[in-house]
Amino acid sequence: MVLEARGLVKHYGPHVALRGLDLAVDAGEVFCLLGANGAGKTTTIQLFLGFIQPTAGSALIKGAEVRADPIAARRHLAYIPENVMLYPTLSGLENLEYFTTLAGVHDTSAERLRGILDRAGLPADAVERPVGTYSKGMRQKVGIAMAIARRAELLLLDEPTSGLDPKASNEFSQLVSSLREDGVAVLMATHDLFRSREVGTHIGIMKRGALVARLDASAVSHTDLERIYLEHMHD
Amino acid sequence: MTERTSIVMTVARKELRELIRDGRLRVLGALVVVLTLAALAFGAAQTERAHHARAHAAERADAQWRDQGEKNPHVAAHYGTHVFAPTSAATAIDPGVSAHLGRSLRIEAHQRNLAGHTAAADGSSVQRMGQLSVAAVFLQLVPLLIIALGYGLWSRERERRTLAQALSTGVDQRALGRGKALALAAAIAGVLGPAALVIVGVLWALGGGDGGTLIRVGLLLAGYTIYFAIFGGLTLHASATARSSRAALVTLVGVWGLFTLVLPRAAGELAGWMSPLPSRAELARDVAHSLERGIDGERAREAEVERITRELMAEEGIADAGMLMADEMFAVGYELRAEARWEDMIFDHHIRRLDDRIAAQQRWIAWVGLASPYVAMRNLSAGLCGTDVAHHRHFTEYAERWRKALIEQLNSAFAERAGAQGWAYEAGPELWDEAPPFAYATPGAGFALEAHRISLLALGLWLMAALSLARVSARRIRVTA
Ligand SMILES: Nc1ncnc2c1ncn2[C@@H]1O[C@H](COP(=O)(O)OP(=O)(O)OP(=O)(O)O)[C@@H](O)[C@H]1O
Ligand SMILES: [Mg+2]
Repeated sequence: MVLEARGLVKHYGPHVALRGLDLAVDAGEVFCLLGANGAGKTTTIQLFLGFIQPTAGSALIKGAEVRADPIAARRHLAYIPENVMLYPTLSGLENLEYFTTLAGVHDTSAERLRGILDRAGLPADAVERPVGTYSKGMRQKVGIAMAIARRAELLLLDEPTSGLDPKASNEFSQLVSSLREDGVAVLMATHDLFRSREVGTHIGIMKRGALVARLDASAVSHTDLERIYLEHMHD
Repeated sequence: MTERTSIVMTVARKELRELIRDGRLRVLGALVVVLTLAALAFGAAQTERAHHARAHAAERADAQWRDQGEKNPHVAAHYGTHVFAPTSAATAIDPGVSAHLGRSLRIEAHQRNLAGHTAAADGSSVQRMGQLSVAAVFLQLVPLLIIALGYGLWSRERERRTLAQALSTGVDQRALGRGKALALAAAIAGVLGPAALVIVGVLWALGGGDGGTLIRVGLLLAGYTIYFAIFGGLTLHASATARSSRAALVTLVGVWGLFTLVLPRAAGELAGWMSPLPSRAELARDVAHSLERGIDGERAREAEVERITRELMAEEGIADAGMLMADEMFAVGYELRAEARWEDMIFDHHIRRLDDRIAAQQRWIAWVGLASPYVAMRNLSAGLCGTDVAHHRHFTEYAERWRKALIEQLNSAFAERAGAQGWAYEAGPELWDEAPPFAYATPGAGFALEAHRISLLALGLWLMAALSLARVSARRIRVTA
């Protein structure tokens, strides 16, 4: 397993954000986390990033506890949040070069990075422009370029396509699919039922900090998925 | 280059790019450079003027002494002369307390310069605020520049959430911290490096090219580097731990105010309270009283002078009262010398007590350096520039030894040469030329370091504390406040 949650519990003071979450994602799998606002999706991803500590249970990446050595765990993953945050006075290329160098990528030649930005769908005329002038979708694409450049084994995606136009969103899905085919494991939080069926291999529905349903993405129709989702949201 | 160093360099380069591109470095850096150079120009002009004035006055005093014509030696001792401390080129950087003291002393029989001593104390506790000097710019404004450039190094990344993006790459946060520290150091070096070269050049032009001054300037640069590193470390720490950039900035400016405004003032108060000085009037009254009644207040001047006269004679093997009867002036000469000894003893006692109290005040102020690196560096800076109280005392003590030798020589000449002429005896240029040379040399840098051991200790402790705080807070950095 590339990623595994075992009985993950997270309390914020008296508030319980996760109550015993179990899930596993292997190489070549895309696990989509669905759930209402506040269900605990971001919390789950932050635990795998080691940005927060679990109250109980464990978050494992490639079999190692994240909390034991968060830096080693992060070496395997790329993270794309809802808003990829970049340095506004630096160009897209400079931002990409910076983050890939931090990640320990050896080949950060401008040539290679330009190629990757192109593959991620960033218009060529934007590459040298300060990121401060980018649209949200363009910033997301730089985030995708980081994931590609790093050759990460695991992608942690937190609503990566929210706010993207349908075409950009579609391109993003295709990129995720192609990375999956290369053997990357993906954990993606999303509100987009349609996309989850399209890119996901597995779908989990979260409610109040626990998974209440697990579905095989290829075995469920869109209508069924919507019905199941709404049923769970309704009690 | 290992991967780790290349990451540190990458981080530093990125931070510098941001500082340059958002214009802060350019605007603030230019401001500090302009102020530094303006302060240097003022300081250099003033030092140059003081240097010329001093040379001129010293020449005149010397000429007056030599050309005073025929005079009774003791009368000449009353007229006296002036001596001058050398003006060091480093005064152009840090006028210290010397601006309050002047650097000349009047030398005459029976009198000692008490005002100079009390002024030393006043000058050292006076705030040197508002006086534009290179030292003031370095001591007060450069820390503000460091704060302005550095307060957001961590906190802005956290607010923009680029920190989460950066940490998600698996970078070691200590490498991020080192890169940020390096960028801050490079930015400050970029602003002040060229200015430092200009300063060294100007000092050279002012005649500070001798080895002693060069060592002092080298130590001064090292001292200020440590001082700036302290503020850099504290700035990074505040940026890493504050809830927001705004909070970091407010905290840092508050700490700056505490260091540079509140604590120096408190140090002066503390020193005055722990080691109070007599007022000038009190001192003059005490001295006058002691001159008549002795230090313990239980003697009479007449009797004491007589006793010392006898002692002097015994020392020099003159026991024969008959000889004294024969040569009246011989006795007067001994009496004058005895009188001088009595007065010296009284003055020495009061001045030493005063100087010791002033030194105690300086020590109390130095201890406040443990609470304020500004106070510690201000002391060290004036010390290395030779413009502090310790150097002033070093000079006045030499001048006093010289005064005693001169007066003793004049009185002895009177005793030995007057003969039957008595008070009518007049000496000429041959005696004036015999005056011992006034050859005061500024002490070496070791003297300055020795005098400021406490401040050095304070700076060392602050440096270790600031750097460890910066290191620890980098290691513990969180993506959310
Ligand atoms: N730092 C925090 N302090 C207190 N409570 C928190 C904190 N972070 C998250 N929570 C709470 O934990 C719960 C789960 O939040 P989380 O952000 O994981 O939800 P989510 O599933 O990502 O929601 P959304 O779809 O809105 O992004 C919410 O009730 C939230 O209020
Ligand atoms: Mg969320």
